[in-house]
Order: sequence, then C-alpha cells, then structure tokens
Amino acid sequence: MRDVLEAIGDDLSAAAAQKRRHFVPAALGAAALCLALLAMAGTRDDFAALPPWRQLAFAASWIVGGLLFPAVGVGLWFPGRAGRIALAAAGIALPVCAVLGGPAAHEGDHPAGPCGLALACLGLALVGLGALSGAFAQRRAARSTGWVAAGLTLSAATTSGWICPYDAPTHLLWGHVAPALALVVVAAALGRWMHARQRR
Amino acid sequence: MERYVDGDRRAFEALHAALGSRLRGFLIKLVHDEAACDDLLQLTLLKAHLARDRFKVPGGDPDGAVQAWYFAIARNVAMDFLRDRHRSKTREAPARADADPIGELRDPSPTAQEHTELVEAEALIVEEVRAAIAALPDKQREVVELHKLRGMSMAEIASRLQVREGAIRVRAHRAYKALARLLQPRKRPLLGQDDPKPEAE
Repeated sequence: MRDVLEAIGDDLSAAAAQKRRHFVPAALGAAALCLALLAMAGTRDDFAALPPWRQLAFAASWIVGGLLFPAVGVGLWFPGRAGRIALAAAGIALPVCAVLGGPAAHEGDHPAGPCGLALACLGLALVGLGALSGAFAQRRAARSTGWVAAGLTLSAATTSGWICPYDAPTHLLWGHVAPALALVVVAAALGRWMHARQRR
Repeated sequence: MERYVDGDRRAFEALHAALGSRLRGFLIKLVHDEAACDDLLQLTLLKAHLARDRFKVPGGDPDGAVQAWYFAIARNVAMDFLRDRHRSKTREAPARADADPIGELRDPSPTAQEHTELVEAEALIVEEVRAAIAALPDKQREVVELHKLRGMSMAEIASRLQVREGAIRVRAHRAYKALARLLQPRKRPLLGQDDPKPEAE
C-alpha cells in the first residue's frame, strides 16, 4: 500500500516543485518591477520618520500581496477556510493601516493623476508578468484567479504608498483607491479569460 | 478533492484516510479475496489519481460526488479483476480435466463462462441504474444519492439540505417512482407507450 501512496505523494510534490520553478522567478521579477519604480520615483520623504509599526505594515502588505496571495492563487499554499478569510482581511487591513495609520501630515492639495498613473503602469506590468508566467491558469477553479489579481493589485498599491506621502482623503480616493479598484477588475477579467482559454 | 486536484498532498492524504478503509471493505465485498484486495485498492487509487483532472461535481454535493466517483472506479477495477480471474480459470479448466478424471465430473456451481456472463449482466444492470439516477431531476437525484449511496437517513438528509423532512420524503418517493418506471423491463414500446420521463418537482 505504501508504494502507491508514496508514488502519488511524490507525483504531487513534483508538480508543486514545477510550479515553484515558475513562481520564484515571477515573484523576483515582480519585486524587481516594484524596486525599479521606487528607484525612479524615490521613496516618500517621510518614510524614515514613519513609526516602525507603519513601516512594518507596508512591508507586510507587500509580502501578503506579492507572495501569499499569488501562492494561494497558483496552488502552492492551501490554507483552510479560516486562513483564507484571515488572509483576505489582512490584504485589506494592512494597507489601510499603513496609509492611514498616523496623523495626516501631508494634507495639502496634490493632483491624483501622477499617483494613479504610476499605480496603473506598475499594476499593468505586474499583471502582464503574471499572465506571461501562467499564474492565472494554475488551479482548476476559476475563482483562484481572483487571488492572483488581488495580490498583484495590492503589490502595486503598496508600492505607490511607499512613494506618495499625501494622505488627504480626496487624493487617496482618486489617486490610489480608484485606480487600484479599476486594476483589480481588469486583472480579474484578464485572469478569468486566460483561465477559460487555457482550460478549454 | 479540489485541493487534491490542484496538487495539495495533505488533501490527498486526508482523502485517503477518509475513504481508504471503506473502499477496501467495498472491494472485499465484491471480490471475496482479501489477498487481492490491497492490490485492487492500490490500483483504484492510482487510476483515480491519473484521472483526477476529469473529476466533476455533477450536483450540489461535492462529498457525495467524490465518494461516488471513487466507488465507481473501485467497482470497475473489481469487475476487471473478476473477468480476468474467470478467463484464466477457463483456460486452466481443460488442462486440469485431462490430468484428473474427477475433473470431468459435472460441478453443480456455475461454469466460469456462466459466471463471467453473470458478472457482465450485473455490470450492465449497475450501468442502467446509474444512467437512470443520472436522468432524474437534480433535487431528486441528490436525495437518492444521499439516501442509497451514502446510507443517510431521511432526517439526516433533511438536516444537511436544510429542507423539511416531509419534503425530502416526497422527493424520495417521486424519485423512486421515476426510477421504477425507468428501470422497468422493455415492454412499454411493445404496449405502444412512450419512454417514461422522470417526474419533475
């Protein structure tokens, strides 16, 4: 009996290893894209002055969006129902804490266009990377594409939060939240389409 | 099952822990050969693993669908085993009869060929019953699968589907009536009646 159980287990492990071989370069590529944008635009001028827990929230938000969400989406990590709910809650709570966690220091009027454009460009590049790496078609259920789309959007939104210090509500809404929502819709639609195409 | 299909090793181990002993009992009941049973169970798991991408949940009961799928594979594996065993017995029988005059005496039990035919007829009946169940409306099929294939009581089914027990009994009654009509011997066409259709709720 052990023979077949071991053979099946080994087969599943080999499939996971193959997924990991695609996942690791794609995750490194995504990190490189985010770092490239940070290098071009520079981090927010008050980043060093932020309280450590906010810096930690930024880092955790990037890890959740850039690694954990996609790992669930491609089938490398299988948390239970409670784990998935906690992860989704963390994906919303962490960037909110990171961005809104302190007193509004830069409330002045600042155009939303540059932030929205930067977020959209980075997000589309990340989604393109995800599409090219086959991340949207790794699991059988089409709903798994939502994890990848949300993760890539969260990475882009967190990176834009590292750059932009303005936390006036209007600026956050039109420069960060609205582009992120548009991006997640586009990424999810693209992911569904690619998943259906691959599984046809 | 979804997680197993997506490559989760722990999900496969959990599935095996939940179904392994029941599949073994099912195979023993079919082949009456404990020694062969472990091999057949291995073969069942292997065939299920190789075909896992084709697994689908036909109704609204994923657990029942997984069980039905594994048990169908186990049944096919057992049927193949029985067929092979009787074929090899048929080949060996003449040789034994030449060597031993007592072998020529008529055995009151069915011959290997009769037994093979019997097994094939049983398999045909099983296929017909499965097709008839598949032809039922979804809600009725769900009740039949939970009641007959998973051995749940009407009260358990009612609690699981969150429907009143009376309604479940009505569904079951209609489903079994429809099954009885679908599985009647082929005499309806001779009487000039149309093929029976399952009664929808």
